[in-house]
Amino acid sequence: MSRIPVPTLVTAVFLVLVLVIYSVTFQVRFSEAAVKVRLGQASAASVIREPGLYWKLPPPIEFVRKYDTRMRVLETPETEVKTQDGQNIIVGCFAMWRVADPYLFSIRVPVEREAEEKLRTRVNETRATVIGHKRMSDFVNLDRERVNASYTQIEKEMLDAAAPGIRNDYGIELLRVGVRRISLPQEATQTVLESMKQEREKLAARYREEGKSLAAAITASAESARKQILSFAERKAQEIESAGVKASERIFEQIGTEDKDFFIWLRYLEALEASLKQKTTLFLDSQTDIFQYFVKPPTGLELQRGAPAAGE
Amino acid sequence: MAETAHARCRRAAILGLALQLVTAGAALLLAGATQSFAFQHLSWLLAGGVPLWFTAMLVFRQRELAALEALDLEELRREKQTAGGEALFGEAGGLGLMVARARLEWMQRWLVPALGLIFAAGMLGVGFWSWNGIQRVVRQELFRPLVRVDLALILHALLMLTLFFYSRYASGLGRVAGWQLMRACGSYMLGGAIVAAAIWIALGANLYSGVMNWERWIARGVPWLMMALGAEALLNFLLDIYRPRSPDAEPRACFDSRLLGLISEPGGIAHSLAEAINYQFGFRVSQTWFYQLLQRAALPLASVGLLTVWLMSGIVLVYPYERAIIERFGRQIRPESPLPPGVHFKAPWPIDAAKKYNTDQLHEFFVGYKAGYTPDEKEQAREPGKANIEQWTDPKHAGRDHFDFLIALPPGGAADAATAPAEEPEPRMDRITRAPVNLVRAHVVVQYRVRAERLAEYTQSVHDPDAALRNIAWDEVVRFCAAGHIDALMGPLRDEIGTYLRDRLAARADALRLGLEIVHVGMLQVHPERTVAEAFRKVVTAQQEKIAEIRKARVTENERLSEVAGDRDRALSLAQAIDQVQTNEVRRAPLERTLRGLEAAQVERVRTRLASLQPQLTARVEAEWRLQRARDDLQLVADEFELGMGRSLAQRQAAELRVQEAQAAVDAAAQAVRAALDPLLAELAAEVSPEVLNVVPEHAQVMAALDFWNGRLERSLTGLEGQAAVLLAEAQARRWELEMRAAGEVARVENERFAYQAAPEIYKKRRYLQTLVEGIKDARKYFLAFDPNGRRIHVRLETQEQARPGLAETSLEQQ
Repeated sequence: MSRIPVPTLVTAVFLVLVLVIYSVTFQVRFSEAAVKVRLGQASAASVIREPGLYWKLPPPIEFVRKYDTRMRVLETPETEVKTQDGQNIIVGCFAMWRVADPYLFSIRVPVEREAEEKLRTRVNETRATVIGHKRMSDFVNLDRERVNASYTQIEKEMLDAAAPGIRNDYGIELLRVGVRRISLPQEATQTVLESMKQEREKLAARYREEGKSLAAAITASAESARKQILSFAERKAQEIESAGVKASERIFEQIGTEDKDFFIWLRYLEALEASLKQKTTLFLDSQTDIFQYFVKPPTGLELQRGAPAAGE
Repeated sequence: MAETAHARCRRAAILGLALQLVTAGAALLLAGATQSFAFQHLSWLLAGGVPLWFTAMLVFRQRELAALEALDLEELRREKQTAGGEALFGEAGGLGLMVARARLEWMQRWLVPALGLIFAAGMLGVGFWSWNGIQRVVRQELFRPLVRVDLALILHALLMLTLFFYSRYASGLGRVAGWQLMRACGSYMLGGAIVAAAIWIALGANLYSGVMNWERWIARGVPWLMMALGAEALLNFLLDIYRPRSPDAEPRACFDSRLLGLISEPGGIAHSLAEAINYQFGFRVSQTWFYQLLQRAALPLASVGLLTVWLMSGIVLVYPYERAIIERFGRQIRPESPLPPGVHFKAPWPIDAAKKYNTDQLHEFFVGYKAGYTPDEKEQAREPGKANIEQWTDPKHAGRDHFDFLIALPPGGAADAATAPAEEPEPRMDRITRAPVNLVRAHVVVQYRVRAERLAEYTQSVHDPDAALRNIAWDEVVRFCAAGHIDALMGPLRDEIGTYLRDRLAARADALRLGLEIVHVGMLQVHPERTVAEAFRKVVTAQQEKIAEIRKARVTENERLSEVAGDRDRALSLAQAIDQVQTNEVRRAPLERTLRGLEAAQVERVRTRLASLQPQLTARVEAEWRLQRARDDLQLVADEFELGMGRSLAQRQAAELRVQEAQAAVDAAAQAVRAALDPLLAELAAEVSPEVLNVVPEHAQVMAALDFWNGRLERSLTGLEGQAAVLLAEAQARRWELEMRAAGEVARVENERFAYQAAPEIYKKRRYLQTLVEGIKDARKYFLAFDPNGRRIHVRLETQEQARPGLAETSLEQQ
């Protein structure tokens, strides 16, 4: 028999020692509780909640099952439910839970995934029941305080309905239930979207009409102010002009009585001058005094008989 | 035919091929039965061994044929030598007739490397494909809980043991010179057996401890193993090309994994390594002094290395953005004061374990998207790092589908909501849907960090605080949206959501003792669904059209008012003054009629006493005028602000402030009038009739207003421009013209009177003829050299003259 080298022997002994220690000890973390199962048997006394290093018999005599006792979050699928006022909505919830009784938990739902499935079923059940007694206005409302109060109430009702059974049946403490998402079924979504489109098209038409009417009002107001100002200015102009007429009459009054005929004769002369201005055409017949002077020079006496007639 | 030693290997290869096929199929069945991806990947791994066994079968069959051929040739040679004949095959020893041997050499030279390449490509391809598949499963969280684990454990144990024992048998055969191919097949099968053992342990952990992650990690690891084996085969193939050829060296197939060889020969790892090195370099490296030294010191060196590594587990390096908590046998040590950044020491593992937490870096998540990342075409086409435009009509944002939040209907409908923000407690039922809701898309970002001072809460309260916060955030955003309508959410509420949600989330995180600080909550986007977004854009277009119409009207207004009075403000001020004067004139007329019917003495007495109130009355009218101006200004600014016509919020607030101040001034002025008037009226009440006391003060107020507004009117006329100014200036000019003409004529009469009185007839004739001369100087003249009586004279005028109506053809007829 060949001799085993010492280093190899030491290594082998060390490895065996490590394996032995590993198989007879276990550690419980601060976030865990452990259930020690001896030959398939366990009781409430088998639960270890304090963190630390513990001894156990090696497998297969003793197994240890450890559970995280911190709060956990579970999301439930979004499911269609009917409200009291006949509206179909899709609601997804979340639940916060923790392992309250590790012993019971280890018996009823040894695999945590399975526990979540069972929990999900219970929460879904209570969700349908609670929401079935609520109206749509409990979920959607312009009153923020009321919406918050309503959600809080719904979540409390779901918690109260599900928690006791889950505690007794699975050793799970349900701490909170919340509404994660609310939406509408596909058909209702399309109808709502169509309605929103119509509302917006109505609004667009209204803006256009408002634009036109406001523009018309502004223009009309400006026109009114313009006319008002012009009317006022014309009235004022007439006042000024009439004041001028009045003033000129007062000036004419300065002419003496003996000069009035002379003044009138001067005005006649001015009228004659004005009438002969610009493009005047004169027809002078042979009977006109002035015509005579073309054939017979004036002696000085004819002038007294008068001037020729003027015409345009 | 006599059986050679190679027949044993051929049979072993056939059996190995069958086992490999059966176990691969069995693993696939187990995968279906247990819903385990690890089994599925084990099945692909085992299937990868089929070409190896097939190659071995072909090669050993050929070896067998070559050996038989060599025996036959040897026997023939002996027979010929015995018969005394010459060599049948000449000097070549009959090599030309050794067909089987030549085929064997061809196989070893070409077929085995070619099959090795196919194996490498297959392993790489299947490994990559499996890895992609499992990545998709991880991303979309498609892992399902394992079922029928107990039954699988038993069946799988059989499978695992079969693989193990047969692989050991094949490896044993592989130790014989020339049978190395059996070692390659055995090593590969052993690799499969080890993976199978890992799966068996994971199944046990799942069944007895509910641990699911182990099986998943194996499912993710097997594709990497396959890719590694494929890559190694490829590398071996390349290295084999450059290997020095020695005549006695048996060629080693590229799929004969050196890595698996280390495992299949645990007792001789060094031997395996040495053999691999010898083979590659073509001489016995393992006989060098350095290698011998290394072999002797390997175990102590490894022990020292392991010890060092173990001792180093007592050093904790905490990065600047981290804090660490030491756990001694699972119990947290002083979690309320975690280890700060720096180097720390602890007892080595497994006594102490350091858990490090990222406390200073910000974490973030989004609310408003459905789960899963599936980029659309636009996302895929986007160049990395290049800005792109995100629009409401994009089917996805950030590669994710939008979630449609339920929101309330606007009070009275969208059309009213735009202008009337009044609240309606009970939502109205929509006519079309009967669902009293609308929908909106909102993207909210939540940024948070782990609070270092509350690390104990973070670690002790909730298993996954991040998931808890994410769910709470969804809850809060759903509530927030449910209490708003679309115009409010896209308008005023959008500003509130950040602060509101941050406070709410912080309160709820504290209540749950999550140990998180909510740093920022912001609404990235809020918009309608993509098909509705088009309708919203139409609204925006309509708003722009409205603004354009109003702008056009304002331009027209400016033009018309400037045209009439020089500028808009002066025109409006003038129009207001004119209006007020007319209004007060209308009020004054009936009051004066009433006053004429009252006792004049009483009226006069009251008027005398009221004369002292004139300043207060005027002040009140002026204050009312200033208030009106401030209101008009506010109206203009508010309209332009609402329409986005270049007014700021500050300007609007300033205008509102001016209105408030003007209103206060009006109230003060009215108070002053009352304070002065009331005692006066009380005093006069005994002396005059109540009707006088009613009418006279009112008349006084009207007169004060008239005085004020006439004054404003006169002031407005000063410096007036435009059409109104032209009218007034023309009137003024005409007035002066009239006056000046009158004055001129008076002066002329005065001047010419003396000449006329001196010789009236001569003066008159002279002036008359002078007038005629001046008048007819430029006139067209026709001298009729006959008696025109009873004749009709036609005169044709020139074109210039024809322009004058009635003169185109003039008739002169004696009447």
